[in-house]
Amino acid sequence: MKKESAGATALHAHVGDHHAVGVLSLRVFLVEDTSGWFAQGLDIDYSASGANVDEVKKNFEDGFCKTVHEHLVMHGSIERLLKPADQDAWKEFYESPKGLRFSSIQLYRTDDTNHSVDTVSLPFDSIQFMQRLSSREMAREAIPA
Amino acid sequence: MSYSPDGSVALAVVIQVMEVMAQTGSFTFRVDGTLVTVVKDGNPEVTILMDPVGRRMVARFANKYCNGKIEYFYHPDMVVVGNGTSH
Repeated sequence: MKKESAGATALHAHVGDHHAVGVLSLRVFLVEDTSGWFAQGLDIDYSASGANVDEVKKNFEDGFCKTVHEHLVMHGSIERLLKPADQDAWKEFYESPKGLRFSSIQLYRTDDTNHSVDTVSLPFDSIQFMQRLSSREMAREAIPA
Repeated sequence: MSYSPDGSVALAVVIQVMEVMAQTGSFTFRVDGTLVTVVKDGNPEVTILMDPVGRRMVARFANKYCNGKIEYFYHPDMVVVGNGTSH
């Protein structure tokens, strides 16, 4: 299984205080951690944790949306958010086992006249959640069909 | 002991250390339950924390906000701000 090499795309459009933000194909590295799971965004340096895979995904999405919100409120843009993870995270990603799983998400946000941001769409189809396989799954992957 | 042998740290301790470190003025720190907002160099980041906080998230906070001093979270008595300490 090859690693996905395509980077993420971020889109931001606004009319006055109304913002729409889309983050497409953001690579998120999932790894088991003490007390649960840890998610590390690669194209954008954002992290989350959770007791299980579903929770860490949800915490990543929710926390990321709130972070986008804060950037829009403070700066009116997401430009300062668009920084990749540090070298160690990328190194771990590229040195991790071959097997990965993917799912995805798109984020759209808009600001109202009170400068708060509402999520108007949150489908799972553009952020790629990549997860290390367990040793059992890796062994299964290694066996030719 | 405020941490587990696996490296996870009680949420209350993480919040305590972050609040003390925020007094240095290098970042602002806001807590709403398990939702923490840190603003450093004008860059806000909102994180939903578990209790306890896992080793990797502790390491991230240490690297981003505590000059890499992860030991602060394992030994919060070490955290010093100005001439005082966290206690």
